[in-house]
Amino acid sequence: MNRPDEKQFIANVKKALDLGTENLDAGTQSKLTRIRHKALDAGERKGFDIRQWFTVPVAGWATACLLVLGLAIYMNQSNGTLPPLEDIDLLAAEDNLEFYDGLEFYAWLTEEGIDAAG
Amino acid sequence: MGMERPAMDDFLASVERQAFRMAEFATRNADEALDIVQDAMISLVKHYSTKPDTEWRPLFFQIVQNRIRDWHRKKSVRDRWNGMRQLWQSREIDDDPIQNLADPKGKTPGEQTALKDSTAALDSALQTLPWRQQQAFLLRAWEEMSVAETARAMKCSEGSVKTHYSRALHTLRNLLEDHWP
Repeated sequence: MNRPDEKQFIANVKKALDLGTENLDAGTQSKLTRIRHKALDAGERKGFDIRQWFTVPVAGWATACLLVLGLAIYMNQSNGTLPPLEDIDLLAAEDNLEFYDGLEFYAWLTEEGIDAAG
Repeated sequence: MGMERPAMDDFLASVERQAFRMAEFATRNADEALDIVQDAMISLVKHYSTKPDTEWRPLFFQIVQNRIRDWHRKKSVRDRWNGMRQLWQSREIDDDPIQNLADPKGKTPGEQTALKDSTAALDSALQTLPWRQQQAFLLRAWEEMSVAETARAMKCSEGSVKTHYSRALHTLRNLLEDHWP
């Protein structure tokens, strides 16, 4: 096979292949357009996701930092201890707090066998 | 840096038909070809849209070739499984096995008539080629990729590209000598 023949053959092949793409049926062309848009949309969604890591969390990071700071201050003020659970129960109870204030006194009365009312 | 949608849209519009035809030649199935093109487009847009637009074309066809190769791998597994199943079923069906054999060239009388058209003849001739020869030929002759670019796209050596291309050219010239002597 000589080179000019080959060049002409390739030129004919290219022309035929180009003709084949130009004459794609409307249904296939429509599907290609649809998948192209789908791919572009997917790319934009991905871009948004990446930006989310840098923009949207700014408010989140600020809130988290404030919470951590607030907690640290509170822990510092309360000598690093949170109120024990029984204290939370007392604070949450609807009973008269005066009763709890005198609880040790009532316990002592009971131990001594003294009638509180009398 | 985000994707420039108009530029990417123009690029994909400029290559989608060629990619579809390449995948269609390789799979002989329009739906499979559309799936391959869609996967390739999404992959390019997601992973390479920030690359310089001069790199999009070789990257895109490289992805198309990867998808075609994956498709052929899966098909070979499917074919082996179907072959075993058909062998099993053929023992149960008392038909003339010769009648059940597909025409290796897959030509109906209608298709034979259509072959008068050189484009249709080329399509058929391309589909007779092994897919690696076919894709090497399409990338080199149609997409005008260099041997090195084709080798990168097909993930094979430059020597293999030259061999595939040469064999494809030889076969096609023989098959199409009535149309393009």
